[in-house]
Formats: sequence, C-alpha cells, structure tokens
Amino acid sequence: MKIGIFSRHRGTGPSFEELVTPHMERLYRLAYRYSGNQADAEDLIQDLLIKLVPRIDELRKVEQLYPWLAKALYRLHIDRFRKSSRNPVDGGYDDYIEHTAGEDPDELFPARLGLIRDLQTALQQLDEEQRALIVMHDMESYTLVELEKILDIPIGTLKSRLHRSRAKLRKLLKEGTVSLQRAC
Amino acid sequence: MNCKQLLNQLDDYLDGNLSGEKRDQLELHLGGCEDCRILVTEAQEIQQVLREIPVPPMRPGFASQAIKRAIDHHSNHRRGFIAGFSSALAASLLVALFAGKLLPDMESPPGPGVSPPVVISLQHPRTVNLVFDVATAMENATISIELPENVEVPGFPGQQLISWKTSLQPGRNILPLPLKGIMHSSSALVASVELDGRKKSIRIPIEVSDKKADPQAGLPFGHHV
Repeated sequence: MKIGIFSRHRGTGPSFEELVTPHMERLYRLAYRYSGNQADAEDLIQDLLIKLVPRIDELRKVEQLYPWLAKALYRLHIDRFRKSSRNPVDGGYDDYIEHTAGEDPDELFPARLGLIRDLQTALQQLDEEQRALIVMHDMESYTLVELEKILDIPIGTLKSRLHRSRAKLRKLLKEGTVSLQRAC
Repeated sequence: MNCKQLLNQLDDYLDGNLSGEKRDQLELHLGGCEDCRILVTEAQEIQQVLREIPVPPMRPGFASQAIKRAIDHHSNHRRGFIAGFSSALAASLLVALFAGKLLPDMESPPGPGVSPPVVISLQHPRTVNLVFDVATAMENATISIELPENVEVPGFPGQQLISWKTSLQPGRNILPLPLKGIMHSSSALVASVELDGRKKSIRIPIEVSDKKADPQAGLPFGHHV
C-alpha cells in the first residue's frame, strides 16, 4: 500500500520501549553493582528511564546505543551520589549472596563468602569513581576500549586510574579487612 | 625486571595484556621474589573473586514495568492540558494538525478557536503532518481519512475514504499526509481514530487555492478530539 507513510514508525522511528528493552538486563547489572542491592538498583534504573523518555529523538540517532545508555547511567549514579553526599551503598548490600550460597554447596560459596563480604566492604571505601571503574572493568569485564567510550576518558588515564583503584583496594584489604587465606 | 617494574606492569599481567617476552620476564622475577609472588597471587585472587560476586537476575517484569512507568510519568504531565474530556479515549488522545514543517516543540497546547485552513495549491502536492499525541499505547487503532472532493492523496485518485489499522505509541505519532488539490474550493478533511468502538474525529479546513501557502501562518494550531 503506497500510503505506508502512515506506518507507526515512519517519521518517528522505533519506540522508546523498542530502543531500551534490549539493554535493560546489562543496565540493571551495572545498576546493581553500583548500588549493591535490588531496591536501589531498580530505583536507579527507573530514574534513568524517566530522564531518557523526553530524549527519545536523541536516542534514535545514536548508532551504538548501549555505551550511550551506560554512560547516562554512570553519570546519573555519580550525580545522585554527589547530591546525596553519602555512599550509595550505605543502604547496604542485600542478602543475595547468602541466598546464593545456600543453593549450591559445590560452588565456591560459602567458602568465599567472608572474602566477598570483605571485598564489598573495601569497595565501599573507594571513592565513587574508583569503585565504578572496578565495577565496570573488573566485575563486569568491560574492556578499556569500551570504557573509553562510556566514560569519555582516554585509555591512558583509565589505566592510571585502574592501577590506583586496584592498589587502594589491595591496601584496604591488607589493612586487615580480609585474610586471603580464608578463601583457600 | 625488578620489583618496581613488576608493580608497574601488574595490571597488564592481571588482565592478560602482557606480550610474551614481558610476561616471561615478569614470571622469571616471580620465581625468585617471594614478596612479589605473594602480591601477584593475592591480586589475582582479588580479581577472581570480584568476577565471582553474583548479581541477581532482573526481577521478571521489571523492565517492562519500569519502561511503562517512565512513559506514563511524562504522559501524565501532558495529560494535564487535555484534562476535562469525559471518555478515556478522549482523555488520552490529542490530534493536532501542523501544516508544513513540524514545529520543534509541540508540547504547548493547541490554541482555542477555529483553526485557519490548510492551503493547498492545484499545482503542487503538499504534505500536512497529522500528529496523534496519545498518553498510552493504542494497539490496533483504526485511522480513517475522509477526503473532500477538492483534494486527493497522490496515488489514490478518486478515493475519498482511506482507512487502515495501526498501533499508536505513547507520545507523538506523526503521520505525514500528502495532499493534492484538484479543484478550487474550500472544504474540510476529517481524520478519525477509532479504538474499541470509540471514535474521535478532527475536522481540518482545507482551502485549495493558488495563493502561496505560508507554512507558519496560524501555527501552532490544533484540535482536541
């Protein structure tokens, strides 16, 4: 039918839902890592979506949407952290780890449960940008090339920051937060 | 390689980014330096545990709920200026007509009163953009265009009723409608949306004339239906 110009997407492009749905799971993982618990992760994602709806025309023009979305999530998370002047995981990590530990005794849990908790405690003592870098690179396995796009930071600077973040994490653990032998 | 050099290359080693020769040098140093061996072992273990910290799967239904809430959040703001309509369809639907180019911001409510006619010439087809601004998604809505005798849609000669089913997304749905004048006169085009037996229409004055159309004249204007 020639009047295909009336297609719902013609002139407007994909809907908001079509644009963001494929990326929700990955965004949620990041949000959970940032916030440490499900309630805060969902809250962060909800805030992000509310801010993005009016920018749908902008979203439609982005070639690689996920890095763009991850960047928006990161900035929102940092903004919220700064505005609240508190550690975003002050609300605490939820008990998902303990829950998981009980499910499969053959897994590393609960043997490493204490170490994980100590690591989480140490992570909370990093500044928020350091923590986000550890989250994205070391926990979610984003490459430095990907992070260069997401964070708008040159790779050389990222490597320096990652080096300092890891060193600080090791130092915090070394100061008695954790005994690595416990994991063996 | 000394201990300081090893420390400088530790991250690349942990991430598997060291070339063969450098890696061999580092591991050679590890063989003879217990302090560095402990450092590297602990660092590797931290990296491993960081990757093992689990993330619960997203709650089933959360994604679609969150997206809907975000869209509704903004739709509710828009709904503020079309409040007062009795039916659910009317409350969720605003049809506005913008002749010529779309305005960059069509958030402002349509002005009251009678809209000026859309001027179409006999010589040149003109596209008018019907903007269906709906608060919530409308699946399988029927859109109908009733054309007056003095205009036609190019490609549909003599056809005065064009109707089709489509789905409207929350927010603005822009339907570019090409129109061509076929005789000098004034009339009106009727655009309708029908969903679940409820129908709302908009009457759009049309004037076929050879006078030059000013796409900005009378804008913004629109119609509640």
